Amino acid sequence: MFGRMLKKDLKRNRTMNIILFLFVIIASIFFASGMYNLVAVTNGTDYMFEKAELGDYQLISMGEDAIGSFEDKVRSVPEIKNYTRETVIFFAKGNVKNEAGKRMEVTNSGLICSVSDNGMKFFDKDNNEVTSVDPGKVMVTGSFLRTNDLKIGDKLIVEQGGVKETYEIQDTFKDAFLGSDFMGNPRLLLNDTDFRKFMEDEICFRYYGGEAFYIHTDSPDKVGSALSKLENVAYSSPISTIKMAYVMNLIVAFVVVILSICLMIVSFLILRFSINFSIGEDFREIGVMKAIGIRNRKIRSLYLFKYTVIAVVGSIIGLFISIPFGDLLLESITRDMILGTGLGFLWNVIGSAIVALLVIFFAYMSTGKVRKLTPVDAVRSGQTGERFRKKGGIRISRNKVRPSLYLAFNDILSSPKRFITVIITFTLCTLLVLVIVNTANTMNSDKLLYLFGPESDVYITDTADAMSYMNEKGKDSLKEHLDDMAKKYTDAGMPCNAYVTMIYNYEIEFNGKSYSYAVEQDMNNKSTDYRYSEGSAPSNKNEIAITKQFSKASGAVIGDSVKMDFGNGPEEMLITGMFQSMNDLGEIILLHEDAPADFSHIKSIMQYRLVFTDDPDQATIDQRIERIKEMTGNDEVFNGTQYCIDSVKVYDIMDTVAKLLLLIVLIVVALITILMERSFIADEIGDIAITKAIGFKDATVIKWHVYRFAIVALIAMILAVGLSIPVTNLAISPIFGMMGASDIDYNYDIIRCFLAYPSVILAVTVITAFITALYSKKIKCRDAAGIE
Amino acid sequence: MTTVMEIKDLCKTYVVDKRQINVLKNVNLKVDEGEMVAIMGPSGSGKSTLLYSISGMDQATSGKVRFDGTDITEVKENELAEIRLDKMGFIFQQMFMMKNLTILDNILLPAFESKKGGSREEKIRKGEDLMRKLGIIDIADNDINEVSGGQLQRACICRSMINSPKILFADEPTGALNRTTSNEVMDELVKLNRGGTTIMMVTHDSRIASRCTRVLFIVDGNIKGEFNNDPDADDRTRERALNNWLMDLGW
Repeated sequence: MFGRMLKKDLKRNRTMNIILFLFVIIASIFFASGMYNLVAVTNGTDYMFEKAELGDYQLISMGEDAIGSFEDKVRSVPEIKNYTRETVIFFAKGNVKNEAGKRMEVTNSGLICSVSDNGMKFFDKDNNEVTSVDPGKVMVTGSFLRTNDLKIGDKLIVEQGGVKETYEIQDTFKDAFLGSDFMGNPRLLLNDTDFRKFMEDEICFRYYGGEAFYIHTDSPDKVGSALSKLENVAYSSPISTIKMAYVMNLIVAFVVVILSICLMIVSFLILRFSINFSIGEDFREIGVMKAIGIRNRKIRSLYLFKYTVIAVVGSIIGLFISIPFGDLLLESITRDMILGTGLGFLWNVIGSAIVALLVIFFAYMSTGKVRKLTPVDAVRSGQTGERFRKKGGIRISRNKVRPSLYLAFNDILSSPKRFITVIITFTLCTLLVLVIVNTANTMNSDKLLYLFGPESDVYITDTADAMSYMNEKGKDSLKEHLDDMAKKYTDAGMPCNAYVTMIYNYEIEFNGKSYSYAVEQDMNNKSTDYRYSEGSAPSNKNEIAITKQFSKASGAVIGDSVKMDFGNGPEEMLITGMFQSMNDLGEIILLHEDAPADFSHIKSIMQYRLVFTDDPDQATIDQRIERIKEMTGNDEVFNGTQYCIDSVKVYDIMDTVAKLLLLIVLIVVALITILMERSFIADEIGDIAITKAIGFKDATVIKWHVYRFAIVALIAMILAVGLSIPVTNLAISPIFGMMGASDIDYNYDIIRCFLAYPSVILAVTVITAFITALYSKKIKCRDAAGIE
Repeated sequence: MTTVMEIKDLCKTYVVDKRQINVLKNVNLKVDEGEMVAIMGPSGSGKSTLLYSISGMDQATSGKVRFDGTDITEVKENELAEIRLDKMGFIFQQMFMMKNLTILDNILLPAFESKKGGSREEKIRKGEDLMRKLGIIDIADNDINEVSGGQLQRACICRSMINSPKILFADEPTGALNRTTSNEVMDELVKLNRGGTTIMMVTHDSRIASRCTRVLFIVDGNIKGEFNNDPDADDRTRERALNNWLMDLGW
C-alpha cells in the first residue's frame, strides 16, 4: 500500500522530486569534493614532504671547490640524526636556451642533478616516483615548463663550463624542495651518464658544483645555529621555510577550500529550503491521510522513506561526479604539489554520506510539521482560517510601479525566508570571487613593491651576472658595476642611479639563542629609503630593523640589541624599527648601509634597480625599459608592477583561479536560479493561472518572476561588493602576513571588481531566471479552475 | 438587442490515454448584451468546458467564438490576454486570489495592468467604490486568509468588475458558499446585470439559475434545451417553473 502511495507521489510531485533530487546530487558533489580538498589541503605540504623524504633542515653549498667541503661539518653536528646528500651543478639564465637560442627564464640559480644520485624523491604528474630519465633527455619542473612556454618534446641546450649538450624534454616532475613558485630555482633532472659529463668537466666541478644536504633532525634550530658559520652557503633553512615557500600555492589551495566550504553552505541552505518547501507542498495529502485515520508516525515514515531513497541515490551519483569535480578544482595546485589525504577517496565517501544523513535529518525535522497539519488543511487547501501574522508586503495602491515589478517586490517582502536563502547563497558566491579578484589585483599592481626593497623605476634581472659577483671580493666589483651601469644609461639619455639589494646569511644571537638568519643590505640606497611600520630607520652601522617574523621567532622588540659577528668579534646591534619584507618570506633583518657585511656570507644578489633622476612619467619609463632591453639583450627588465608580478609569481595562477572560480560561481548561481525558480513556479501554478485568467500576458508573468531574481541578485551583489573590502582584509591579510607582509594596501579594481564581475553574475542570474520563467508559459489560465 | 457573443459549431475534444473524449459537440449559441445566462447540466456534461472555451481560457478544438466583433479562436495569446483583461471578467467557484496581496490590491491588480480606465487614483477610487457597493470596504487592507468565504467571493466579483468588462463569466460562483451568502452574492450579480453587464454562469443550483434571464441545459456536450425565465414572475414561481422544465429534460 505504502509502496503504491510512494509511487504515486513520485509521479504526481515529479517536478519537486526531481528538483530535490538534483539538489541532493549537487550538494553531494560539493560536499564530497569539499571534504577531500579540505583534508588534502590541510595536510598540504606535510603529506608531500613526507612522501618526498625531505629533510627537517636543507643546506646547499656553492662556490669554488664546494663539492665535499661541507660534509665533515655536517657529520660533526650531534643533533643531526641522519642526512642524504646529492651533488648538483648550478646554472644561471644564460646557461639554458631553447633551440631558437632564446635564454630560458631562471629567477634564481638553477640546479642540474642526476636522477640516480638524489637525496630526496621526485614524482611524476601521476605522483609516481621518478626513478629514471632516458639518455639525452631531461625532466623539468612544471613551473619551468610553464614560465618558458615549453612543451614536452622541446629541446633544451644546456651550456655550463666546458659542457654543451642538447636534451629533449621527457616530462615534468614534482620537486617538493624547489618546486614551489616562490623558490624560483628550477631543477633539471638528467640521466646519470649525462650528468657525469658535467661532473667530469673541471670548470663545472670546481666553480659551479655544489651539494644539497637533506638533514633529518629533531632540532632544526640547533642544526641551523651549528651550521651558521659555514661560508659558501647557497641555501640553508629549516623545513618550515620551505613550507612557507608553498604559501602562494596554498593560497590557491585555500581558495579552493573556501570555495568548497561556500559550496557546502550553499548546499546546506538549498537542501533545507527544498525539503521544507516540498513538504510544505504536501499539506493537502497529509491532511487527507490524517482525515482517513493514518497515524502521524506512519505518515512521517512514508515521507522519510521517500527522502531516504532520494538522499541515498542522489548522494551516490554525486559521489561519483565529485571525484573529477574535485580534481578540476585542485588541478592548478596538484601540477606542482602532491596533495593527498592518506585515506584517498574515502573522504569523498564521507562527504556524500554526510549529505545523505543531512537530507534524512532535514526531512525528519521537516516532517515534524505533520503533527501540526490537520484534516482541515486538506479541506481548505491549507487555509485553515487561522489569523496569521500579517504579511509584510507592500501595497500596490501606494506605489507607482508596474504590476509585474510590484508583484516581484511584494513576493520578496511577503516571503522573505525563501528569498533570504537566495540572497545568502548569491552573496557568498560573489564575495568569494571578489575576494580572490581583489587579491589577484593586488598581486597585479605595484602595491607590494615596497616589500621587496626600496621602490625604483626599473628592475633588471640578470642572475648570471649577479652570481659572478658572489665571491669574497665581489662587493667592490659590484659597486663599480652599478656605477658603470648608471653611467651607461645616463650617457644614453636616461639619467639614473643604480642600486641593488644584497642578502647575506649571518648568525644572530639574542637572549643566548643563535639564529642563522637572512640579512639584507642595500648598495647605494640608504636604510631610510625603506618603509617602516614601527620605530625608525637604522641610523648607523650598529643599528638594524627587524620584521615581525623575527620578532615573533626571537621575542626581540624595538630597543633590544642582538649580537652579530662581521668578522671582528660579536657586536651589539640595536633594533630601531620594524619593517615589512617578502624577501626570504619576511625572515630577514635589515642592516644600515654602512654595516660591514662581507661577501663571504653572501647568499644572493637581487635585481639591479634604476631610479631615473629626471622624474619621467610612466610612459617614458616604459619606453626606456624597451631601450634597456635592446641595449642589454636582456628581456627581464621590468617596471614596478611587472616586477611585483614576477616576484610574487602566483598572479597568473590567482588570475586563472579567479576566472575558474567565476565560472564555477556562475554555474552554481545558474543552477540555484533554475532550481529555485522552477520550485517557485511549481508552488505558484495557482497564482500564475489567476493572473493569466484576469488578463495578464505571458510576458508580464515572466517579467514578474525575472524581477524577483533580479532584485535579490542585485541585493546580493550590493552586499557582496560592500563586504568584499573588509572580508578581503580579514581573509587574505593573514596569508600575506605569512609571506612577510602584515599590512597590505589592497588594489581594488573598481571596474572589474565592483562592476564587471557582479554585473556578469547578475546578468547570468537574470538570463537564467528568464529562461526558466519561460516555463510559466505552459501554465494556462484554465489551470486556475483546476487549482486545489 | 446587440449580440455580444456568437458561438458556432464549437467542439472540444480531450485525448486521455489515446482515447478521444468529445466534451463539446457542435455547440451553437448566441448571447445578447445585457443577458444573464445560466448553464446547467449534470456533472461531466461539459458546462464548465463550454464556459472556459467561450471565454478564451481554454482553446476549442474547432468552431468559432465571436466576441464583441472578434473571433477569439483566431487571435493570438497576447491579444486574447488583452481581451480578458479589458472586456471580460471571471469569477471562480474557489475564491482564487493572490496569496501575498491584500484584498484591495488583488482587486486593483488587473486595473493597474490595464492601460484603460483612467489614472491610478481613479482606479483606486473605483476599486474602493466597488468594495463599498458590495459591502466589503472594511476588509480592504486584510490578507486573503483573514476574511470569510462570502467576503472573498464578493472581492472576486469586485476584481472581475474593476475594468468594467462587457461580459462576466462565473463558474459556480456560489458553489462554495452557504445559502445566505449565496443569495447575497447573487443579489450583487443581478444588480450588475441590471446595470448592463452581460453575465454567463455555470451552476448546479436551480434556485440560482432561476434568477438569470435564460437557462441553457447541456447534456453530453450538446445544448439540449433553453428556458427563458419570466422576468415578471416572483422568485418562487420562476424557480418552480425552471424545476419543472428541468424535470422534463430528465434532471
